[in-house]
Amino acid sequence: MIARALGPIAALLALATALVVACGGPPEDARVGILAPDFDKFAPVGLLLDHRCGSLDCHGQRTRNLQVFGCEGLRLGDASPGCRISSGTDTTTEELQATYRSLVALEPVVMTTVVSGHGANPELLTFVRKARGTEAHKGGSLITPGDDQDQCITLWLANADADAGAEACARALALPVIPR
Amino acid sequence: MKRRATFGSSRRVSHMTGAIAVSSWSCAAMLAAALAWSCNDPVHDAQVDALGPESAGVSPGPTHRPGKPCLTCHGGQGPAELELGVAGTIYKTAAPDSPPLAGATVTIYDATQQPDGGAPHTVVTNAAGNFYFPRTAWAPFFPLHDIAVSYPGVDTPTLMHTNVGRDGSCASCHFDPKGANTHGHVYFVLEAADFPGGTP
Repeated sequence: MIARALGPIAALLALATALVVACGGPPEDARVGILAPDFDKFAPVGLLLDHRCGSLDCHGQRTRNLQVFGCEGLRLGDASPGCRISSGTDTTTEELQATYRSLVALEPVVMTTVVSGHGANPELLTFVRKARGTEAHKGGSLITPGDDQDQCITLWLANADADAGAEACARALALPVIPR
Repeated sequence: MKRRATFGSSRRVSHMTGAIAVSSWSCAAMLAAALAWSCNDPVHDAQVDALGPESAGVSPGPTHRPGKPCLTCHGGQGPAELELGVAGTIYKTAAPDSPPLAGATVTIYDATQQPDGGAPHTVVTNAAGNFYFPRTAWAPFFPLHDIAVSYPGVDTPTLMHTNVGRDGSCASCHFDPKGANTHGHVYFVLEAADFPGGTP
């Protein structure tokens, strides 16, 4: 008898609980976290991206999903394109931060997967595939797996030793053209 | 039964055949219209329209539309027939009202060339400051690099320190007014006083 009496009450409670759970949702200030490589190690990578990807006719445009900022292309603030060598100002920390945010937020879940795997499968990231030319890319195939440019990026994704990555990036910056 | 007999009459069949014939022509016309419409690129059309009309007294040709993104019309999508690989306009100074620079030599290397070896692609600007490479003469492999402008009597060429990623129109990135997303038009010297002989 007691069980029969409690039956409808239990059902109502279950329904109320389900409604609360279904309508509650996450709090308004909730954010999906991104496990990204350190910004502290990003400067050499950011400079390479500016050099190879950030010209004003490519990713140095506000209309791109991946936006690259820096002195060789799109600037933040009032500065005009042009580095110190051409009487301009070099890439600022704020511009590197803007590029970093654009890059790590492109595919937050995939970025988290790659970084949590210590950079083992960088090709999971679309920007790596596009740069390598294994996915359609209007800018063409820009890097080869294992070359200095590729290492510059993949060592950063692996959160590897900062010096090793910086050396690869520095060598890659000296590449003005695609090697024949 | 009576209606069915009428429906099956030869007159009715003849009318039906006509209807089918008209319908076929309509379909063909609709298909042609759809194909013609689908071949248009509204984004490209808008870019062409945004260029506006020709300047008064200047006919389409090598000196028309200085400072405009040449490959909008000459990039292969029309409406111009001549397809260009790289094209632009050189001005004497960085001032927004600078006159064009005629007789300047533009040198460009593409991704198949190292700057320390192999001859660059060169062209001389015309009276409007315009220069261009027809695609039949050179289909560049991007990125372009080590782009320089030189002028007779001036020892040091003016260099562009960045690469061109993929757009053969200088004016796609070089336009006025100067700002965070453009260095302004392409110029040879910063100020008129820097030009040989003073004010150009």
